[in-house]
Amino acid sequence: MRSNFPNIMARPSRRPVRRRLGRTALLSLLAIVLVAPAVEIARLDRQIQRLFELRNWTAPTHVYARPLELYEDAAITADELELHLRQLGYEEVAEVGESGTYSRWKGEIELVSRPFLFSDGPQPAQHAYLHLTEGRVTTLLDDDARTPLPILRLDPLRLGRIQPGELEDRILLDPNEIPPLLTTALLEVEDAGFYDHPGVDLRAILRAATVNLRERELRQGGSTLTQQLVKNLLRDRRRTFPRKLREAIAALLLERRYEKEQILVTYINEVYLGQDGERAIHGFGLASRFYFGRPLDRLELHEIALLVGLVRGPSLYDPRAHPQQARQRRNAVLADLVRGERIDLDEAVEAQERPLELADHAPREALRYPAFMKLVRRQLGRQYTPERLARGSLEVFTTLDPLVQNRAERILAHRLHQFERTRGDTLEGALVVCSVADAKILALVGGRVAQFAGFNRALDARRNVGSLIKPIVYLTALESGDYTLTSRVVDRPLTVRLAGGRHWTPGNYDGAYHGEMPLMRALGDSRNLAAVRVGLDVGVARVAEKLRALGLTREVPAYESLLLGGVSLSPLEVAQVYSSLASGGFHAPLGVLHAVRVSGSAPLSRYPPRLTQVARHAAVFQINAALVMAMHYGTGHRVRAQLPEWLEVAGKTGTTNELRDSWFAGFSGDRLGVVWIGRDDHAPVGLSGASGALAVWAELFATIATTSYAPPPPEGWTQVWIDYYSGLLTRLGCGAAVATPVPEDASIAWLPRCDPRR
Amino acid sequence: MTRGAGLALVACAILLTSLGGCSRAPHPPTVEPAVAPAPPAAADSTELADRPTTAAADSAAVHPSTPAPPAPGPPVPVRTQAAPAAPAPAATHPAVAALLREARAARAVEDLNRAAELLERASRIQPFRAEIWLELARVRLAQRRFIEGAQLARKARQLAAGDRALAQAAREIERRCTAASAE
Repeated sequence: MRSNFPNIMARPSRRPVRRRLGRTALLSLLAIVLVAPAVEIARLDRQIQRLFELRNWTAPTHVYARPLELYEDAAITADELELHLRQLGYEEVAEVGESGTYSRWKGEIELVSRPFLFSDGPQPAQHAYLHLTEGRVTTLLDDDARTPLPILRLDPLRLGRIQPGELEDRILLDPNEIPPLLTTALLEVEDAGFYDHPGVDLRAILRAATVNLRERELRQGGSTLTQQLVKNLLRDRRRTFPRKLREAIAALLLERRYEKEQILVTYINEVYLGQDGERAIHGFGLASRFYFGRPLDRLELHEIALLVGLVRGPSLYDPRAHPQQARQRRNAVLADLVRGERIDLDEAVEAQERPLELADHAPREALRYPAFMKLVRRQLGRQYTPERLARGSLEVFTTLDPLVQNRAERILAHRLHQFERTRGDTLEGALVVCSVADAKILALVGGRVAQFAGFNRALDARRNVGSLIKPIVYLTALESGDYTLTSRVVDRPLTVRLAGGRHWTPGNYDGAYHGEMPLMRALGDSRNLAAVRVGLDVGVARVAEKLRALGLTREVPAYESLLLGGVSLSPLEVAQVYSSLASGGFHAPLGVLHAVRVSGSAPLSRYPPRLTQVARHAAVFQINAALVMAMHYGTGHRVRAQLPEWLEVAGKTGTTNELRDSWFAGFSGDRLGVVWIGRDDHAPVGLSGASGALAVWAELFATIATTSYAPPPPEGWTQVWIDYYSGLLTRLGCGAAVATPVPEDASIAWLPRCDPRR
Repeated sequence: MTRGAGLALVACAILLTSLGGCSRAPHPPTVEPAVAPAPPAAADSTELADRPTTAAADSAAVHPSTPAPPAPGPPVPVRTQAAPAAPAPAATHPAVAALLREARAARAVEDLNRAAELLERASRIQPFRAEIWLELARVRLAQRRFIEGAQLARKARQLAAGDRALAQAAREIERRCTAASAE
């Protein structure tokens, strides 16, 4: 039903006294409206309309994960595939026929995929048969033609909707998602005349005034839902008369423009219902999760009554802070519902006897992957204005890989728990996984409780990187042309005279010094003194420059301590720098967006990786080869046995002073992972890079789908077996033979005991 | 780690790689034995297998801080040595082959955005396949996105692995892109 101003005048009333009173009030209100500058009203009208529209686009912006690609040899278990199909909403049936159905018998899965309009064009439904054994797809057939199917792409998982700016942390409910009981209870308690009044309910105001006079305190407000909504939209909590008048006018304006139903739904999504630290809880959808850890449609009567009761005073009746008051308020609401004949007495009594039954775990975020979604919003915010996002009906295709993300969350939480048991600390951690080929972020974990949208350590925790810097130091050296992997470097104490006459005497992690050794071992074993000497030789400024070239977007002061990782980076920044190594010296900004389009049309924008070569191929190839060696003989060797034997990976540990930070950054052929473990208060955690972060990284890379790091050597370079410890020529099976890239025209002496000519 | 276990491990590695040679790899006390990285291509295995085993290799344990007691002889050119460890280029995965085919078809009908997306999918499956990057460079050239095209051609060249025709094609596309972007 539509209301407008004339209705106020024509409003019928049974009692003459009331009518006279109402008419007088209305006339005076109208007078004020008329004398008030028309401009002001027009402004208010525009403002309230904009705020309302912002919350009411009909098609919200939907966010999708990267679609799952299945092909022969793709790493996925039958259980994981089935779980993914269920997440996508595929239905298990006896006889597969319609799209979006599947059947499974042990390792065999038959399915009909859903048609989907991808950013590269429409893809029809596909009837497919898969056989999965030992965590891999062994057979993939087109089940209509019974011929091999090279590749099958499923429709992407929908991650959720996003709201612009201040609305980002909501769960917006569609009308059909709102339990009728909630609407009934809300109207009964807050605004019984909602469907009859024009936005302002004079009878309710009078009734409230009478009650308040009688009880000599402010017990009733008399505001309609529309007025309350306006108050929430305008965000002005002052209780002054001009404020109230402004709200009343805005309520009338709002009702003139929008349907009752729409106002009610907006109210349910908007009303303020509590506080979670700095985060305001708006809307019944989020409140339901916040207080009960469940979606609204799974709440019982006593829980709905509690939420409805909160409207009157979210802090006064905060069930966590004041359980007694909250319970009284809840039971009062239930009593109101009985009086209004909305529920039976029996029901009410039963509900009144229930305890509050609040969720005790940390409040869960509206969206499934809060850390990743935060980055999505950040990157979207750079491309689109809030107004554009608010206009909505966008589809955002992101690069989240749900399989990798789920595993990363689980492994990090589990390992931190294990470390804590043996050490008694409370640890935090963060993790980033990227795709090497296209520099996209596949998974992002911002803390051990991944569902909690708090401090996002992957993006915002900047910590000293320790030895993670060393590959950059040596890369700079190799690029200078004065060094190769077999160049002899010196691991002996030294004192550096710093600017200002001070002195710096760095030490090795283990306090031992091994003298001369090949560069590749100095990097693989993470010898501090060798890194400092080489770094000073090539110049700290050039190392800092290289760090920037590889993708760090901030200025790095070129102090000597940089050579030992005296620079604070976030896990995401580390990933950005290492991504340039993993891709053979090509930098591309790490992104989470694949494409954005208006629903159902061609993409507005695509986000392909923009590659730029930032390091010489031969130098990067050598550094990466040394990082592979580090996994066999150096600081990474501890986990080598945990990884599949065929899987060749490269990586570097990082440990900071007094074991405050445990880092690992490493990559395979197609994935890069960065793990940080530490404490928010920077206290020591008793974990080195190898004993902490590396364990998490290795468990992740042992289980996610990935391929070996095995690029071909650069032109003019060849690989020979070199003994890791001496840097001398050897053969496989003699000494610590590691495949080492050397220039084709190089000459190297034999490790005597391995020289076949002897 | 016992000597026996170390022996077994190394023996496994040797069996796996079908190489003969010495029977034990000495390791420093602080480092656990680890198998040598990826087995080399089979091409040079005979040559190495034919070599005699040196007795010295069996007894001498080399401590990392004091490398090889006998002084090493003069450097020998690595060119004369059997080249190991360059992994044989993996065959094109059927999924990648299919995506490449589709991408070429899309480029032929000038559906360039689609071609690019198909190639990006392929690159995620086999990131070291040079022809994917070369094809992507061709698409960017056709889209007149010359700077990207030049970089992609360079990437293709970097992964060419002795495929001279491919390297040559990549060089040509890089040249055309660079020339066009300079205009």
